[in-house]
Formats: sequence, C-alpha cells, structure tokens
Amino acid sequence: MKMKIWKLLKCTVCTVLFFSILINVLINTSYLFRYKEDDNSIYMMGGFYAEDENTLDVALIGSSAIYRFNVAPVMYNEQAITSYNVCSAMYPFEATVDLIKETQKTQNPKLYIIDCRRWYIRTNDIATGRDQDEEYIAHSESYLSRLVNNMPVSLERASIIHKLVPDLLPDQDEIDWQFDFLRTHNNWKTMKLSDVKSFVEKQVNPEEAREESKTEYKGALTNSGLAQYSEVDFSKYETVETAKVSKEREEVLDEVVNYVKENNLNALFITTPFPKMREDYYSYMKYLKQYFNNEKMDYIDCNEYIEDMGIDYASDFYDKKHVNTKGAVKFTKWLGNYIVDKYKLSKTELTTEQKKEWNASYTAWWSKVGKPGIEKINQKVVSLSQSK
Amino acid sequence: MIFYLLGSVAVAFFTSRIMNKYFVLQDKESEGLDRKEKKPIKLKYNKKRRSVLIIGIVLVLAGLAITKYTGFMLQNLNSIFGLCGISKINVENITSYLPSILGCSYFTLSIIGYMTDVYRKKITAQSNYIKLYLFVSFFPHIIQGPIAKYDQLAPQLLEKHKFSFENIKTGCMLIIWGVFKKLVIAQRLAPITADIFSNYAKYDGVTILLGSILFSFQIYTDWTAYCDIVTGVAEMMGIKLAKNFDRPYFSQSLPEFWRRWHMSMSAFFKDYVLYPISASTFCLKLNKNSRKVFGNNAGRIISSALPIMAVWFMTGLWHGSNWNYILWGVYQGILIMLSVTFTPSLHKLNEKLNFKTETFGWMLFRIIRTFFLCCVGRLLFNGGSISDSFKMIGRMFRFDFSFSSISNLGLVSREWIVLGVSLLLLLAISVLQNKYEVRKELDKQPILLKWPVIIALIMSIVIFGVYGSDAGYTSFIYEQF
Repeated sequence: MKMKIWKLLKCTVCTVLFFSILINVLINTSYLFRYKEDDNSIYMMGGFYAEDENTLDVALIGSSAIYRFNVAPVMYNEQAITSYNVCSAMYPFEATVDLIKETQKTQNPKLYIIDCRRWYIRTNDIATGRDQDEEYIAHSESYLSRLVNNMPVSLERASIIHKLVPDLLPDQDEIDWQFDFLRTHNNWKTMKLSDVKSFVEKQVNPEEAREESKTEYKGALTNSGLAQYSEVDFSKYETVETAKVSKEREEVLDEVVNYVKENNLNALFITTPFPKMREDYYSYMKYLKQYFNNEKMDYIDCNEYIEDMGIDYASDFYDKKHVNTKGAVKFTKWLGNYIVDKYKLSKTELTTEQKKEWNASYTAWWSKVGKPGIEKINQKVVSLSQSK
Repeated sequence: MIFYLLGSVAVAFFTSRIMNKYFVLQDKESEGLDRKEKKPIKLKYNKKRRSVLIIGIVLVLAGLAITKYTGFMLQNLNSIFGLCGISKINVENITSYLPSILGCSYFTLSIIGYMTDVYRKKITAQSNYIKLYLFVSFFPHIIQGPIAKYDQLAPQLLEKHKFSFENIKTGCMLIIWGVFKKLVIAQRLAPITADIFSNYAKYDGVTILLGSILFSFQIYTDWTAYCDIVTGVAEMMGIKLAKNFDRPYFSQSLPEFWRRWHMSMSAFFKDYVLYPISASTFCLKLNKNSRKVFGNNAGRIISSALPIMAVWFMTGLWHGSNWNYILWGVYQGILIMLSVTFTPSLHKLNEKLNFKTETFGWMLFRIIRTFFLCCVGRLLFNGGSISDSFKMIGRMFRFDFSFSSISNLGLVSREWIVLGVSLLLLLAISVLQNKYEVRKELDKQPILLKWPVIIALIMSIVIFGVYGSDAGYTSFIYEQF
C-alpha cells in the first residue's frame, strides 16, 4: 500500500514538474518568435517592464494621444514626479483594466492617467459602421498585435485577447492569438542569428537584460515635425448635442471606473488636445464630461486648457492629432503642475542610483532630443512664415 | 455514417449468429455418430454457412460499392455508352445523393474478416451487438486502420483495464513522434509533391524522380504518423493495436516490402483473398494441369499468377474508384510475379558465379532497387490520369536536370535543412528500432536525459511544424481511401 501511494505521488510530481518545465520553455521561447514590426511599442512597453520595481509615481495609460504628449524626463525635472507612458499605438481602451493590473504587478503608482481618445474614436467608428471596413480591421489587427506582442504571457494579456479579438477581428480565431506559436512559429524561416543570440543571453542573465532594456528617455517619444493649424473654433462645442452612446460602449467605461473605485485608485481620465476637432467628437467629449461627472471621477478635456498650457496651433503640432516636441514639453509641464496642485502626491523615495538615472535621462533627452527638436521646429516656423 | 456503421455491424452480427447456430445444430446432429456418418452433415452445414457468409459479404460489399464506387462505375458506363452512341447518365446528379462514409474501406474489411473467421470457426460469434459494434467502431482505428482482427482486438476491448502510468507515458511518446512525422515532415513535403505531380510538364526528369522519392517519404511519414498517434491513444487506454508498418523502406524485395507496409491490409488479403483463391477447386485444377503441361516450376508460377493478380487488382480497387489505383495494383502484382518467377533462377546464378550476396553493398543495392520500384509505382498512383502517369514516368527516365526547377519548389533553404535533419532523425530511429524498442530505452534513461529529448521533440514540432491558418490541407492522405 505504501509502495502504491509512493508510486502515485512520484507519478504526480513528475507529471506536474514535466508540464511546468514544458510550459515555461514554450512561453519563453514564444517571445523569440513574436513579430517585432513596431519599435515604438517595444520601446515603451518593453521599457516599462524594465523599470525598477515601485519607482513610478504616475502611470499614463493610453495610445499616441499620451505617449506623444507626456515626456517623463521633463516631468521629473520639473516636478520630481516619476512617470511612465504605458502605451501602445492605437491602444484599445477596452484593455485599460488589464493594463492597470499589469502595471500593478511591478509598480505602485499613486495616480493613473487614462486617455479616453481611443474610447470615443472607437465608439464613433462603431456608430458610423466604419469598424466594418476591411482596411480598418487590418489596422486593428496590427495595433492589437503591437500591444499584446509586447506583453508577457499573463492572465491580463489573455483577457485583452479574449475581449478584443472577437470584437475587433471577427474573422480570426481567438486561439491563434492566445497561443502565439499558432501565428508566429513560421518566423524561424527569417529569424536573424543575432535575435537568437540576444534571446539566449536574456535567458541566461535576466537581470542584466532588464537593465539593458531600460529606455534612455524613460519611454519618451516625441516628434520634431511641424504642421501648422489655425485656431480651433470651440464655439461649436457649446451648441453640439451630447452624444448618444450604446449600452455596450458605456459598459466599457463602467468597467474601468468600477475597477478604479473598487481598488481605491487615484485616476484622472483625460482627452488630450488636437487641432482638427470634428463636431461628432465634440459630442462625445461632452458625453464623457457628463459621464465622469455623474460617476464623480476626475476628468479633464485638455482642449479647454490650451491657453494655460501655452500651446500654439501654429507651432506645437506635428500632425492633426499629436503635439510635436515643443508642444509635448508645454503639455508635460502643465500636466505636472496640474497633478501637483490637485493630488499633492507623496513622491516615491528613490535611491541615489535611481535619482541619478532619472537625472541622466532628462539631461540626455534635453540635449539629444528636446533642445535640438525645439530648435528645428522653431527654424521651420520661421522659414514657413518667411515663405508666406 | 452512424447508420451505415450500425447497419454493417448488424449484417455481421446476424450472419455470424446464424453461422454459429449452424455449428450448434451440426454438433447436435453429429452427436454419437462415427466419422463417416458425420461427413454428409458437415457438408450440409458447411454449404449453409457458406451461403450465409456470401450473403453477409455481398451485403457489406454492396454498401461499400454503392457509396464508394457508384461514380466510377457510372463514368465507365458512360464511356461505353459514348462508344455505342447511347445518351449518357448524369453522374454528378446521382453521386450527389450518396453519402461519403469516413473509414468505410477499413471497417468493411474488419467486418468481412470477422464473418469469415466465424465461418472458419476460428472465433465464436459475438452474442452481444454492442460489443461487436465496439470492436468495429473503436475510435482510434476506424478512420484509417490498422484493419483489426477480432481475435486480437476484441478480447482487449472487453477485458478490464487498470490505469497505468507507464502506458500513458509510452503512449504519449508515440503520439509525439507521430505528430512530429506528420507536421514537420509530411506536411512540409505535401505542397512540393502536389505541385510536381499536378504540373509535371514544367519539371525535368530529376525533379520528377525527386518528387516521387519525396512522396514516398511523405506518404510513409503521413501514414505512420497516423498509426503512431492512434496506437499511442489506444496504448494509453491499455489496448494494443496491430502493427501496420515495420520499416518498409529497408525491404530488399517487393514481396518483403508488402509484408512490411500496411501490414494489416496485406495480412487481410493474404488470409481472406490469396489463400481462399489458391485453395479453390479452380486453382487447384489449374495448378495440376499447368504442371502437367509446362513442368513443375512453370506450372507453379502459372497457377500462382491468378491469386496474386486477384489480390493486387483488389488492393488497387480498394484504394478507390480510379483507374490509376487499379493500374498501380496491377503493376505491383506483375512485379511480385516477376520476383516469384526469377528469384530461384537468380539464386542459382549467384551460386554458380560465386557472387557474394551477404555484403552490405549488395543489400544496399537491393534496398535502393526496391525503393526505386516503389517510387515508379507512386507515379502511377498519383497521376491525374493513366496517360499523365505514363508521361510522368517517361519524363522521369529522361533524367535531365536544371537547378532552377528544384529552387522553384517553394521551400526556403532553412526548410530544406529542417527536412534533411528530420529525415536523418527518422532514419536513425528506424535503424535503432532494429535492435531496440526506442521508447522503452528512452524511458529507462535518467530524467536529465529523457526530458530534454522529449521537450526538444515537442519544441521541434511547435517551431518547425507546418500548421495554423496558412498550413493548407492538413488531413491524412489515407483518410480519403
């Protein structure tokens, strides 16, 4: 009898151990095979995971409507607030709760800043039927891929896929996304030896690899282009009707709000400014204002603070939806002040090394990106005004 | 499918019960009688049993013929009608009403084997319909074999089984190896061979030869993969399925090849077609008369031609309603006949010339020769039509070659490397199988050696396997038969 129990125990332990090793190998190897087509998302998401644990005061969650606006080194230099853009291009708002949970695994931010632009654009796309266009679906696939390809395998990632694949990509199988290898295993045919080498090195020395994955500018990703716009006519904002939102889309907001409330998190919902504002978007922003007001949650439509920020439509944008480096610096300084005034955050105690790292980040960003970027923009403004 | 299966098993059940009843009546009537008195009773009941068996076989085969061969028969009738100027039958219209029964070629043979074994009193008829149904429909083997024999499989299915961790382990290993062969080798070869066979006109002789060689590996890995997977699944439940392949490409002659390839079907045709025809009154008379006329040796060859050709014609036909399959069967039959005819003379010649036939070189030559003959057979089997097959063979024997056609086969260089390494691994395992039971040997090894090997094999499948949405046709080749 004893022998029997011993044998059964041995079999069980062996099976569990074998499958644990196998799953571990499968998961870790799958990272090597993932598509790496978008450097921006790798830069931000990868950089976020590389940050030292519990060193961030503020986590900004969203799309390019965040990462083109907030410059973490500038916020640190101005207000000594450590922030990070946990973002990916065209980030789907539906992933917010899972991304907050993902953030909570390594960080304990005192404030979450959540971008709502992708919520109202998607809501509008559904309402107008644009979400059914082939091109739109192809874009959605690419952007979802950028988000999940840069997240480690986790329940949160699985949840994002579960929520979004049936919704965004009705013709695709969720299982192909849940198990990376189903979509990516053929990448061995084109894989570079250097990728394999660096992957092996990461496996051998994960701590060193994490340090190396830290981004020099703490995930800041600004653009030094210039697109000039005339002043935005906000008078329409007053006259337009508040958007009628479907129950499903409202539930998307509810999910985030409920999670924030249930977990007593500080959250600030924002919509960042852009100069080519459409009337239908105004109606959604009106809706958001009303919604968050009802929910007693903090919400700011940054379009209303353009003057406070000092943003100039003729020099601070690089396209119709995003600020350039010059505009980003203005926005970040304003946002930092707003946070300090409103939330009075108790700042995270950083070690001397960490402080050095953040200071070095600002110095590097300002000297290599910020200053030359702003100078370049100013020159463009001058040359454009001369050519006129 | 379920009703077809239920009906076929019902035919087998009732015919075997009736035959069994005749055995009982024969025993009763023969009680207390001497040998001479028993003989007429035996003959009477033998006749009755034979009639019942024939009815059973005809019924089961009729089902198979209707579902599988109606289109083929009507197409050929149409060809005759065309020659006679009679209006043609709308074949598609008729065949569209016919169901396609998955695995019917396999379980029909199992059922015929069962009925014949009851007739021969090798087994007792099963008195429980459900148990007989279980034997026929046992899920791992129903789609693609191995063709089961009742006396080997049924007792295992009906006895009690205890959970065995060893069985689970070894079964899993076999499944993993099967999946490796299917996804890494067979699936990778499938688009290449399909392209060569369907567009043979644009390829040179060497590429067509390469296509037939690659198809030989494809069909072997595809089918043995299936067998390994189902054998592994059955093994996990404590059931041992019949062995279907025994490293056939190491065969030194075609008869040997057919003893080692699709063994369950070869055994079926040997037991239920070859022997009965050979032992039939007609064949015995033919044997006697031809020996008288042509001498012992030639007489023996002439009398053996009929059963051999019958077996190979049926084997070809069994594969499906296509003249290519029948031609392929006849080709195999002729080669085997030639082998039977010339082997004794060649042995004598070798002895006279003092030729050493036990050397590795001679053995290798015989293996390559047998493999090559198989490859030619693959071209007959795979042609779009008989004329296409002959054209392909004609092109192949030109042996012209250009690098560009091989480079256009659709595999990147890394895939060729993976293919080559996988085939070498297959060869190594096959060589080891000669001396060892590879799975048991691997299981004996310490965990530090065993687990990395298994995990590496699984990872090879995951990484190098051809699967997913862009994998194309992924079914097993022999599923269609």
